[in-house]
This record gives sequence, C-alpha cells and structure tokens, in this order.
Amino acid sequence: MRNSNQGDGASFGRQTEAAQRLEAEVAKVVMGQERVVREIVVALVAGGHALVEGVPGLGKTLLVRAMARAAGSRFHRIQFTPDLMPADITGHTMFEQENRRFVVRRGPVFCNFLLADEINRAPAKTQAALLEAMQEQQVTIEGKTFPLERPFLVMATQNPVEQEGTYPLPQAQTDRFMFKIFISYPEEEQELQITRQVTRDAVGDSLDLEPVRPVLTPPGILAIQESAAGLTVDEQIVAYVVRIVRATRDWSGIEMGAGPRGSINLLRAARAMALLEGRDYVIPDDVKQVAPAVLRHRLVLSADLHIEGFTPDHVLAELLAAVDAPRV
Amino acid sequence: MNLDAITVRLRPRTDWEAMDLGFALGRRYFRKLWLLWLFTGLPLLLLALLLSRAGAAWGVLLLWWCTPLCEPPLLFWLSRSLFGDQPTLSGMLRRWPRTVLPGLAANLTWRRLHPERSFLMPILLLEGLSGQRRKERVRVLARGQGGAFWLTVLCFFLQVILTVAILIVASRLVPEEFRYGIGAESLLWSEDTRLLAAVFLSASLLGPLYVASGFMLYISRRVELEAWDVELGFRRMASRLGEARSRNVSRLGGVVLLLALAWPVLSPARAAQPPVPDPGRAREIVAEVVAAPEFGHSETVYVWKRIRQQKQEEEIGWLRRMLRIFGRALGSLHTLASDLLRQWIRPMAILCRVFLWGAAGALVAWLVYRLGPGRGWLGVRTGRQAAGPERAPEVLFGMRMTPESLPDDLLAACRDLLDRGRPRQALALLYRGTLSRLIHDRGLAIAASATEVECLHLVRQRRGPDEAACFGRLTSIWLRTAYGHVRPSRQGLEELFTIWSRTFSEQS
Repeated sequence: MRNSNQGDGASFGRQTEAAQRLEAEVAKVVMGQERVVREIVVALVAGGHALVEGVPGLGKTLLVRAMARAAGSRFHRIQFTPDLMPADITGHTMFEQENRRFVVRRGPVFCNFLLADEINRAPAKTQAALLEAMQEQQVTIEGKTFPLERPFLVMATQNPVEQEGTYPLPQAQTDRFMFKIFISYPEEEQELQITRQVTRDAVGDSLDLEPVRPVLTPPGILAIQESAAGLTVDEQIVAYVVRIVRATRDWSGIEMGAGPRGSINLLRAARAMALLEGRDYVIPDDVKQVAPAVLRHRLVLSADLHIEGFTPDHVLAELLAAVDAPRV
Repeated sequence: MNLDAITVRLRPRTDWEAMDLGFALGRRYFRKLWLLWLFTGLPLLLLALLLSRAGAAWGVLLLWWCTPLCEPPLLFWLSRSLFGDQPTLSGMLRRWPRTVLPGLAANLTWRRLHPERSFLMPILLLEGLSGQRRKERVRVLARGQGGAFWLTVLCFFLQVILTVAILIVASRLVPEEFRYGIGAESLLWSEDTRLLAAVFLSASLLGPLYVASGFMLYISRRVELEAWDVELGFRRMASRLGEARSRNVSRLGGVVLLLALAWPVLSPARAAQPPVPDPGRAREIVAEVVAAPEFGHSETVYVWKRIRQQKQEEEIGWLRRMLRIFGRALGSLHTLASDLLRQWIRPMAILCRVFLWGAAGALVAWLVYRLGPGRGWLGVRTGRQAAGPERAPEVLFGMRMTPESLPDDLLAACRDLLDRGRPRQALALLYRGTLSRLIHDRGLAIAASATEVECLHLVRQRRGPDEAACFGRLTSIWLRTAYGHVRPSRQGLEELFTIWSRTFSEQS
C-alpha cells in the first residue's frame, strides 16, 4: 500500500506529536480513563464516529466537550428525547417575513463535533436523520443538500441501564459508528483525584474545562487524518484484518458477524493507532488493540450467551486468541 | 449349578433368539450390571483423560482397548443370577481381583480382537479349564456357532452410532456459555473430554448387553449340546408324577426308571444318579410304557395321493443320478482341495502368527516411543520440559519452527544472505531462528495468534534481561522491515548479529 509519509518524516512526526498532544489535553480532565481517551482520539484521527456507552456520571459528556475544546473545533450537543424530530437535528426552512422568502435554518448537526447525548431515547426516525450525516458527511433539507464542515465527528452516548422507553439503535445505524467505547468506573486513586479536583474551590459539581488548551484546529485535524490515511500497510496486515472479521461470521456463539464495513473500519482504526504510536507503518498489534472497540457493536451474540450475561468482548477475546497472527 | 432354579425358560434357541434373550436379561439387571461396569470403567476413564493430553485418540484407544477389563465381573454376576443366586455388589467388589486378573494379559492382547470374545469369555471364566482341555472345550462349544461374531459386529456399530449420537446431542444441548466459561467449565467441556465421555458412556451402556448376550449364546449352546431342557422337563415330570405315586405306583416307577435310563445318555457328566436296572427288566418296563394308551394309541388317517407320483419319481430318477454323480465329483474335488490346503495352510498359519506377533511388538514399541518423550502428563518432567510447553509446535505463523528446518550455523547463513545483498531475508531467517530457539531450547509457549510484540512481552516476562534486550532489538528492526518496508542497514544488522551471537549462540 502507498506511503505518502515516506520521505517526509518531519511532517509525519509533527502530526504524531499533535495527535499525542490532543490526547494529553483530553486526559487532563478525563482522569483514569486512558483507554477511553486513546480510543476517542483514534476515532478522530481515523475520521470515524464513536458511540460511547456507560452508566451516568462517568464523564461521557465531559469527554466529548474536552475533545472538542482541545481540537479547537465547533461543538454542538443534542439531548435526544422521545419527542425530538429529525428537523431538530438537521435543520429546516422557514419563511422570512421581511424578505418574503424561505430561508434555511441549519440544525445543530452543522458543526465539527456533535454530541448526541442519550441517542437511544429518540425514536428510530430521528436516529435515522443522523445516518446521512454520519455516512455521507452531508445533510439534505427540503431537497437541498448541504455538505458538512470537515472534520465532522459524531459522538453519541447511551446508557446501558434504564432501558424503559428507549429505542435501541438498529444494527444499520450502529454499524456506521467506527467505535463503540465503554466507559467503566475509574480506579479508586483516580476517583479520589477527580473528587478533589471537582470540589476544590468550586460551588457546583461540573468539571472545569479550563485546563484543556486548544492544541489543534480543524485544518490541523484534517492534516492528521490525511497523514494516517497515508501510512504503510502491508498486505499481510490487510489479510489479518479480513481474517479476523471473517472469523466473526463463523464463530460459535455469534449469530451475526461483522460485514465488510467492519474490515474497513478496523484497518482505518489500526492506521490511526499506528500514528498515535509514532509509527508510519501498521503492525498486527495495532489491529489487535482496536479490534474490540471496532467490532463489539457489529456482533450479534446468540440468545444463550445473552441470557448468561456474556458480552461481545468475551467472544472477541477468544476469537483474537484463535486467529493466526501474520508473519511477513 | 442348580438347573431347577434357572430364571429363564430353557429350550433350543437359534443364535438370534439367544442374543435377544441376552439383551432382555441385560435390560432386566441393567442397573446392577452398569454399576459393576462403572467400578472398573471409572478409573479407566481417569486414565484415559490423562492420556488424552497426548492426543484425544490415545484416550479413546485406551478406553476401547481395555473394555475387557470391565466385563468379567458382569459375567460372573450374571452366571450366578441366572440360577437364582444374586451376589451383592460389595461381594462382587471383594472378588474383583479373582474375577478380572486371571487371563487378564490374554484378554488385553490376543483375545482382545477375537470376534467371538463374548462367547469365549464364559468358557474361560466360568468353567475354569486350562490347557488342552480348555482348547478342546472351546472347540466343541464353538463348533457351528456363528452368533457371537455377529454380536460383536452389531455391538461395534451400535457403539459407534451411540457415540456419535451422544456427541451430537451434547453439542446441541450444551449451553454456548460453557465454551466461554473460565476454568473448570471449559476444561470439562473441551472437545477431547466430550469425545472421551461419549465413548465411555456408549461403552458402559452397551457393555452389559454385550456380556449378557454372549453369555446367553453360551447357555443356549450348552442347552443344545447337553439337553438341559430335556433334563429339566424330566425333572418336572418326575416331580409331577411323584405326587401321583399313591395312585399309580407302577406308572411312576416306569417314569423314574425311564429317567434313570435316559439320564446317563443325556447328561453323562452327572455322577449321582439312581441305580440302573438290569437290561431285561428295563426292556419290559419300556415295553409296558410304550404299550400304555398314551404311547400305544393308533389312528387311521386318510390323505389324498397323486396316482401319477410313482411315474413322476421314475421320470426324475435320472436327474437324481446325475446330481449324485456331480455331488461325488464335488466331494472328490473338495477332498483334493482340502489336502492341498492342509499342506499349505499350516505354514501359512505359522507365517501369519509370526507376522501378527511382530506387528503387536512393533505397536507396543511405537507406543513406548511416542509416550516416552511426552511423559509430562504423568507428572514426570525433567530439564527443559519442566518450564516449557507440552509439545513444541513444528509450524508457527505459517513458518517451520523445527531446529531441523534451520541451517546448522544460523548466523553464518544470515551473514551469507546479507553478503549476497538480501538483508530482509537475512533478518527473516534470524527472526525465525530466534523464535525456534525460544520455543525448542528455552521452552517458551508461543500461541499462533501471538503478534511480534506479544512474543516480545513473553520473552521479557520469562527470560533474562539480555535475551529480552536482544530480542527486543531484533523485533524492532524486524517490524520496521517487514511492515514498514524499510530496508535494514548493513551496519545495523551486523551489530544485531554480534549481540545475537553473544546472547543466543553462547547460551544455547
């Protein structure tokens, strides 16, 4: 595969450094969640969307806000509710009395970072409004298409508890998220640190984003993304990615495996991971590291495993331990 | 042996009827027979589980081969139960050594593959004969008896079908989560364990039926040869007539005398029998009995008869004569062939026997050879094996990992490749050689799914700092070369060779 970075080591180094700086900035406020921060930055570098899942109070919104601030990009948030309409996301036309004409009022989707909070609380029609935006990076209002500003990253959150009155995301929509990131409870030490930091000289309980400095700009993010897209990827790595994804289709306990979009996203994510590691080539470990986050929401487990409380991560761990690693 | 107490109805039976009766007997006493089978079978299963660590096939072979160990107690118990004396399970367990150990070596070697094993076992175990007398007895009883062979074939196929059925049912019914369980659950439900369990279960279910059927074939043959049914019939008759003695003494006397006459003929082995009357008196009694209305009754019966039958018989007379001549010719031919065969068969039989013994010896030698280096499963671990994997893989990551597949002087071969302008191949060879040494010499267990970095982590965890540092440097250069498509510098490789030589060559 091509390598546009070869011969331009300094530029590649700058991109890597910028991406690592971004990660460091986000980690200033999102404490004790190194893996989550790494995955969300990988999603940004790979140009993919992320679905973040975790119980309330773990800092999902904070993560996205910190990311948007560090990336120096425009950030919008939509709180998904059962009465949210598609036009509330994409925008709508309205009649302007003064000029006696229809004008388009753009919705919150027109931004660089869109936080779709509790996405599973809106009905399927509204959720589907995000599909075109996520996949095509454009929005159609009243028959007219508007391209979205790049970079465009949707970070949706959902709550695994309190499932009453929710609308689980259809498989077609979850497939459009590159990553599904789990946020779990922080370690005791980190939780102590969070508690101290939030309560120090503060009246409310919100985390202060002041420590996060903007270290990137939208063009800077695009440059990083292009740099990641140009990494060297050996054919054996591509074969390894496909082998993993194909194994999900035949694996015992998996009712439905990942499709080709899974392979594509796995490779994109592996490239972004390699860039963050400071390498201008992808190695099998990059693939292995991002595989759970890329594949876990693309698998449908059998009813038996669901009932017994097994998660796709259990199955993926077993699968990754069984698929032969490449040797060139 | 008390024939009066026998729990089955004695009559001449075909082999198939005898087998059917054996299955019925096995079903009737199944619970006790099964427990007896399990008493020997369970330790065998444990042994098979241990052996299956060297390969599931070994465990299955052990279970199958040692099945005759489990059968003698069942046969002994059946032989007593058939005559109304049911031994207790504890009593059977106490006499287990006396039941199983005699003839054990023969049962597990040349008799193991005998197709009529189920039929021979009662002769060998219950009659207690030895040497020439046993051979003669086997020859007499086995003559004209073919049911045991078909019983073995039938049970073999039944066991295969049952084993497959159990495996299919298990795969359908075992919850999926067992596959992903941790520890004991996954160990219990590994494929090898399931296979062994299926073979064990099917063998234990069919074992009692097989033994009971073979035993009934044996009983049926003895009934046929020794006229047990006639003997029992006379005994019952004598008993019935004994009650009527007061009414008709002479008739009873006749029956008793008839019994006395018939006894030595029908059961020559019996010693304690009534005294035999003189022949003249006996003839009179027989004539009297025959003249009695029960025997002397005559009746005229009219039947239709074809009047041309005589002529037809004459017409086909020539055909009979021809057939007779043809038969005689065939007989002569058969005699001739038999003589020829007799001349050849003996040497052939000797040759076959030598060959079979040789094959058995070779098999034992091979087993010893195979199990010798892999004694780890018995807990006997020595030297490098103690820290290493049970079996070093020959192929890993699609590359041959055996030391034989590598050049004797690895570094010299790498340097040669480097001199010929093929640094990538030199590095690849060095990487492969290092992995091979780590696996075979250092006993490192590396999975096929392990990436280069995971291999490095493993080396850092298990090996000393020198090896870890050297392997780390090698991995780093290898990753850049293999996946980054960057040609390694000659100088870098030379330095790597030097470090490698210091680290791996000297320590190996």
